Amino acid sequence: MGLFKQVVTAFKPSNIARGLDAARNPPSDEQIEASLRYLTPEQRAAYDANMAQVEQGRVESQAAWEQAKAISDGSRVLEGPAGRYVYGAGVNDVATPQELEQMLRSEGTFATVRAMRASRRGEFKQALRQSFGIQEVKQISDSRERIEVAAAERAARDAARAPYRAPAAAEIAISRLATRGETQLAELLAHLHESGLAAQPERVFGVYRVPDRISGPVTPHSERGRVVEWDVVHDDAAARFATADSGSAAAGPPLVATSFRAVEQWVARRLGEPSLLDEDLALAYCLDAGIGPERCLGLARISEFRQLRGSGEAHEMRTLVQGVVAIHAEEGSGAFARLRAAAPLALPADPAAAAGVHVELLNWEAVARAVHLKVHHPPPVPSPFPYLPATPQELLRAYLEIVGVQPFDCYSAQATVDYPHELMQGGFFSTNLGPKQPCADGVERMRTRGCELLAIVYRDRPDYLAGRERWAAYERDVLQARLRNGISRRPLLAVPEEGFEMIPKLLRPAARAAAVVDSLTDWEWGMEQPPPYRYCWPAVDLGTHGT
Amino acid sequence: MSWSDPDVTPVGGAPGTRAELARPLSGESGFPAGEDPFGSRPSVRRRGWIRLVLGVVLLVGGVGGLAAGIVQAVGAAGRIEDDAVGRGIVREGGRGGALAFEVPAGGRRHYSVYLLFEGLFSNDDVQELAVRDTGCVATMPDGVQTIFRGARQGVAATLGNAASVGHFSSQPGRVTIACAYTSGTRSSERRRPDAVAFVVTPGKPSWSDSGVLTILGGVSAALLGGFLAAWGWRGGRRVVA
Repeated sequence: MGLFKQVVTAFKPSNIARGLDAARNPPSDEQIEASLRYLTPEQRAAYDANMAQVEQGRVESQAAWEQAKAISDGSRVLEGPAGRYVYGAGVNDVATPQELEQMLRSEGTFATVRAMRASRRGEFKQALRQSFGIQEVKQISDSRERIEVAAAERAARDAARAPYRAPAAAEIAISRLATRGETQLAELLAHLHESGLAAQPERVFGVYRVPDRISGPVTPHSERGRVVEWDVVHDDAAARFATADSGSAAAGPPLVATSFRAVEQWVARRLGEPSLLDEDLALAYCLDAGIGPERCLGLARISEFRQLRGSGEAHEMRTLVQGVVAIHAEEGSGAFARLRAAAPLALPADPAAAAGVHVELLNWEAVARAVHLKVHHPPPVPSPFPYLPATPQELLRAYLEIVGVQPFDCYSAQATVDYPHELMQGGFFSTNLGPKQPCADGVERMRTRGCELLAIVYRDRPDYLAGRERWAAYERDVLQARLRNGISRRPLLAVPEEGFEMIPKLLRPAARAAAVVDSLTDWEWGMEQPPPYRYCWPAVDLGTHGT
Repeated sequence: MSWSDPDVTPVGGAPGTRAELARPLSGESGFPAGEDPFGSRPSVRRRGWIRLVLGVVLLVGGVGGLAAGIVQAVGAAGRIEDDAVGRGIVREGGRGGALAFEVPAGGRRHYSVYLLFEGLFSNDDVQELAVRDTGCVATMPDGVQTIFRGARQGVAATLGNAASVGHFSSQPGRVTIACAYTSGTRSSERRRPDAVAFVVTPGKPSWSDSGVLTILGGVSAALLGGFLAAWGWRGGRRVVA
């Protein structure tokens, strides 16, 4: 009967009106304090006990919020409008526990709930648009207007970047050449000779295969006969020097691309130890051969963008890193043969840091999810988030300029790929087709953009520490991003999961047999299996069982 | 669409044309020969003359074989009627014509029965239905009867307008043979021709005599030859340093 009486009392119109009024107009501290004076000692003791519980809850809430914030800060790449677009509202987009409490006190419960709901308004509609690959802003179709709008957006970004630029930043140029997949490296070396850059490695930041797939739908299984572009990142003065004195430039020494295949076990690693970056191995070779950054034209990942062999027509194209090359003038130290004989090598966990070399990896994939959702199309104009760079090359230039990296300190500057990522456009009803876009040889072809990250490797100096602080401020204040997040940097070696871990041990042989039958019926028998870790697989404590 | 990336400057040049321009090495590169998995060394295309010559020979031979096969097939089709020892009509419900002929003295001889569509029924489905529904009874000189049906042939042959129904063998003497529609479904009875001529011709239906194998061999050789010739003409890459 007591409960029934309480319910009746609570639903009395006068009491409901009083409750609503309290929610809208919470009592001030003075009003609460005044009402406490009328409590009996027992009531006051009960009140104080309740308030102690409230205080404990407040501390726990604050700790949980800080923990959530730390997790978010360590994993979320984008904040601000782009972050809300890609991931939805995050910890930093809603009020802190103190702010919520303050709001509850000053504006009441209804207003606080309304504000919290407002912070998530439009998320469902946005997710729906993303699912169908619909751009956030209406695209301009007129080509002249596109160029004007893109130029204006770029000028605004350059202006925002200017205060962070290093005082003595190099003038950076990126030259792009079109090659055939079959002969891409030989053509790149020939271009470096032709352009005179072979004679001035100290003016070259790096070279990289442009991480775009050209004419993908024509031959998704191979790039041998297709156009593959390469970028050469160099000091703009180098090009002027070469043009003015092409005779002496062409007299540069023959170049070699010392090559390391990803499937070979170059480095000894145990399970649980960190794997290595492609650049770590090429750098170890350069250090052993005495090739400093002033003599190195680039450490470049060799990647293929194609379907896995034996996978049939139904599978998507992937980004496959097949190895790494170090490009430098011909030399006679015999370092390669020495390393080959000593393999698997005992390299330290972070070989670059041990040698005073800084390796920067910046996440482009997350940025691309915000600014370039349709990978078979050109970058959208206007940009949905014009404060973010439109291309990986723009981000690469920004990093080199802000940190102030000099080409004679730079081993490698790449826009590249890492894991076997599917080159697939997001959204329902999307295809692998897009408009033809200009290539470096002047011919228009279909292009699919697949860049995942930037890799910049340079000899460290105190100046660059200050430069990286500028970069951190630029990331925080302008890009509203943490671009080092979301990259699997030297992941720890582990036996790849078979997918049977959840099945009881007794039933696993049957599950494995079923999987074999499945692979036969799905025509996956003999499908190419990229190594789970490059240059260091199998783990030395796995023996031959891990192959 | 024009080039619009302000960060990147295209340097032009047709892809694939620089591979031969890379400077050859002096032999002091320090790494063992063959350690060039990604093809960084200068290379040139060299024609594969053996593949080219072999391909042309196979191509010419294949085209010749194809022509010979076609001639053989036309000849075989003509012989069915020219060499026929008897002619009759296949009709509905056992009203087919019977014919008789004399097997010359000597050993047993093979004879085949063909339906002749005379170009009136060019529809393959209709012809197949007619052959499937046709059955024949051959009465040998010693009174033994052999029954065969178009639906159950070991080797079926279609040459021009003639389609085989079956075959039999007989000792010397007078042979009588009657053919008629002996089976069928409601659909085939409606669609097949009311009457179709048949002939009895010496020999068994055979792929080898019909030129089919020669045509297949010729086409295969021509395709293989074309592939080899193209491969040889294009050539393979050879490292020059």
